[in-house]
Amino acid sequence: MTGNPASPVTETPSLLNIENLTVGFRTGREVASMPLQGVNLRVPRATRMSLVGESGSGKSLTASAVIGMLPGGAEILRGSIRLDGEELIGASKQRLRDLRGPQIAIMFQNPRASLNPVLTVGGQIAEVIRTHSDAGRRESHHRAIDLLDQMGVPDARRRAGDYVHQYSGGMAQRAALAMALSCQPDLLIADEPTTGLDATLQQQVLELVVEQVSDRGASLLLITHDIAIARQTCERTAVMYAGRVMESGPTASVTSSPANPYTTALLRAFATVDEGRMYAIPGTVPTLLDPLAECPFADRCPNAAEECRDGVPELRTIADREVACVKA
Amino acid sequence: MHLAVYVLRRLAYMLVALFGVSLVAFVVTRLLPGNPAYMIVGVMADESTVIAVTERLGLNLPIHEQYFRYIQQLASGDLGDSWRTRNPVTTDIGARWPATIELGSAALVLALAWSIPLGIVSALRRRSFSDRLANALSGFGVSIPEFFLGMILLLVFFATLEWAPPALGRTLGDVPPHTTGFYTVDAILAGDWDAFKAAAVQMILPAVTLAVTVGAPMVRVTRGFMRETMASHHIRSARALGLPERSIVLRHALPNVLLPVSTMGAIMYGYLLGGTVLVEFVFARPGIGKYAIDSISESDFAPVLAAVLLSALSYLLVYLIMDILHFVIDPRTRT
Amino acid sequence: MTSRTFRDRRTPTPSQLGRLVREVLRTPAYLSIAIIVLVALVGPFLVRDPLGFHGGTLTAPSAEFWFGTDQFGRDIFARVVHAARLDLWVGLIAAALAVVVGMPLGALGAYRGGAFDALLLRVSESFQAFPTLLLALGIVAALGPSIPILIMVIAMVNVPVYLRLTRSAVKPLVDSDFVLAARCAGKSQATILRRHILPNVSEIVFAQFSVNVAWAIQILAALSFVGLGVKLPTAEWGAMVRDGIDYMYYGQWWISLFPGLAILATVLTLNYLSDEIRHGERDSIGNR
Repeated sequence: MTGNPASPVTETPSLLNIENLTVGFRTGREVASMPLQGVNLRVPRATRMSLVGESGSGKSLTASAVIGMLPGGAEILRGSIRLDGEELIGASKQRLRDLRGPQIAIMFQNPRASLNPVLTVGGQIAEVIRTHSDAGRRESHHRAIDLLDQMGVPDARRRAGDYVHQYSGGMAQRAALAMALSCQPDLLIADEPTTGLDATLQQQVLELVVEQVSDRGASLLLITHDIAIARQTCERTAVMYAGRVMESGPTASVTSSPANPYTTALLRAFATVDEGRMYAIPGTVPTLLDPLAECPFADRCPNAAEECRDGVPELRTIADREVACVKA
Repeated sequence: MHLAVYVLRRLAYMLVALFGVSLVAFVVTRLLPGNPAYMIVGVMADESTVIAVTERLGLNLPIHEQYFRYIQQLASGDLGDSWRTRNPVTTDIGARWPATIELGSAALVLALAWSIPLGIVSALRRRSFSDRLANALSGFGVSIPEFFLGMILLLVFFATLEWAPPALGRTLGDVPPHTTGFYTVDAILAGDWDAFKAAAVQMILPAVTLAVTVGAPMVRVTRGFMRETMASHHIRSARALGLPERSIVLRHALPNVLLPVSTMGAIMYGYLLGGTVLVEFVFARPGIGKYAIDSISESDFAPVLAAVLLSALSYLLVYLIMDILHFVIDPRTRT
Repeated sequence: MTSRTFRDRRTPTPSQLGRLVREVLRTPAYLSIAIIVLVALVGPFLVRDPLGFHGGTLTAPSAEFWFGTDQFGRDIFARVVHAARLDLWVGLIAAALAVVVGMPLGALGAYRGGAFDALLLRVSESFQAFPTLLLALGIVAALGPSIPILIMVIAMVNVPVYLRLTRSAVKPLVDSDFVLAARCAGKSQATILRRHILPNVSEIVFAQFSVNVAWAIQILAALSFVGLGVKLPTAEWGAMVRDGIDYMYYGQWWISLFPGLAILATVLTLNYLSDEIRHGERDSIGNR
């Protein structure tokens, strides 16, 4: 089903448009679980957007689906992913390969592991450039050095010939960013890019990502569990829970006056961590073995009412944002 | 770490290991039944001769002194004498080791040629035909006893199809003039095509036998490392940036796999060079393994000790060379 | 909450035993090990005397003598069946001895560390350099071939395998928080090793066990094949292959072939069994 259901929000053409994305894991012929259940997400052009949620909410799986690299056993059951108007679901492998790099690029967690240990850092970047352009060996290497330099790797000419184990964590993250941006992608997906870095480095890397993405006029989809990071880097924020987007809109208003009780609870959990107390959202995340039949947060929601059990709430446009809550 | 320091340290380990091996082997061989003095002079000799020989060999000394004497001898390059062949052991080994090295090298080349490609292809295509083939062949190769496989090959190719010659030593043709001691190489150097064929044909079945049994575990190891590498983060990253599959496999994955697999190959080569007792026995090839077993069954202990030491030495040496090569090749050891 | 119907797909079985039997019959490795064990246990009571003369010498396989007879007129089928018991016993006991010696040593080495660990490591490295078969041959030749000696020798060459395996499995556990907690709670070394560490490595060790029984059988067969294993005329697979070697290429192939196939089938089964144990575990853990 790749049709276009009545869009609830403004019709400005967005760069990435995910509609009703549903992903399941199969064992044998049966669907054993459905970790994504109708994700709707729009990333406008030249916009930084964060995708926030607890672990297991489906953030990373959504990113994997966008780049067409779902883990083994996972399968897109329905929905549509359009990049710049082009449908990606069902696109040929070759087409997806051509898009990865110049159109979408992704940086994973753990930059050290995402660079090949036996190839030089510069050589890896240059190979990506050569794959997607007519640049020759020499030119691609020059461009790789330039990129490392732009990312703030000191003495880039020499460091390009080094291997990743010779890089510090922060430098490795810069190299990974250089590689991801090497073909001027329109959309950069960053999956928890600063996990494992200390606070100072985290700050530097985030600033660098923001600066580089903005300079290039590209869009950013930043996947994080940390609302503070979303707040300081992204103009827009979408909150995910139980394989669905619960609320999405300008970061400032989503985080200051949340419209979905789940967002409120998530914010409260973060706020109390800062104050040194702990607030845990009562109850547990649903297991997502079967299709949802009601609001996934209903069991844990302080405002839950009868109508919350009458089906899964769809995203509705309310003022400056979209909210999936019948009571909003 | 500096290369020289690394090599020195490894050499020291090697000496310690060799020392341990020689000690154990020495004690075991001294427990072999029969007084070697009798074997040397014959049972009909009078008692004074036996005593004289016993004393000359130091067999009346306590065992630790005997070991000490042996080590002293060893340091001067003397491996003792074989009473069975009446030669210094060094002479006997000089005549036999080339046969073992020749066969072992041929077997290693064959083993690598089938196991690594099969391991890699089967890792890339899970549950495909090649994966099943890899499973079946490696299971079979790991499980079949070398001597039985050799016999089956002889039954099929010699006794039934009559394609192969009988298993009678290294060659049924002319022995080529001695340059390297490897009959096939010497025949090529002498330009004697017939001698080459005669020597090569004697080597095919034993080499295939060893290639199957040595290659089988390598298929599994290669497949395991390849699967692990293909699932690694850096391969995922390379894919996410649209690199073509050919480059992913050959440029990004393969070097990561060949490093550990080559270590395994080195271990196997060390094992092959130490003499493959059973295959040499079945094919009646006069190599180190055959020499050792013939000597064991007649309590001729100097050759047994020498064979054990040589076997350990070749294992340790090949392993050491491989490690040094890795140290040089693998960027991760550079700083 | 969501219903649980998706998970409980497996039909409930009437009894644990019934499920076990069904499981065994479905998996080729379990089925064939069951058959081999059955042959070893019951077979010897059902076949002819393995040492007796039963008619013609060197008769080809027939309805009367399924695997033919050897040069002494002995029934090869009866000998193969009898040998199953011997080979499996020797393999099992030797591998078990190796576990009993190697596993605690390896665990202790990893746990204690220091000079003791370094010594163990050096010794087991020296062992690795040792030509296994030559070592076994030498010791058997020195001490004389008897079943207990063979078992000891085979167990000995298997010990380093368990030593290294256990050592490398225990090493990361030693620094783990739960062991630290047990230490803080004032538990003794022996208790920590027995109650907290060994249970965590036993799974890996027992997947290896099956492989080592197979290896032990191969070593026994090899020793007998070169004439330094069981004493003649005891029926043992390797010795029987040796018995037929002079006839193999001149028409009487059955003397060596059937015992050789018996080794192959048994070792193959044990190796697949080990794979099965390992994969079974992985599936039950890594099922997402």
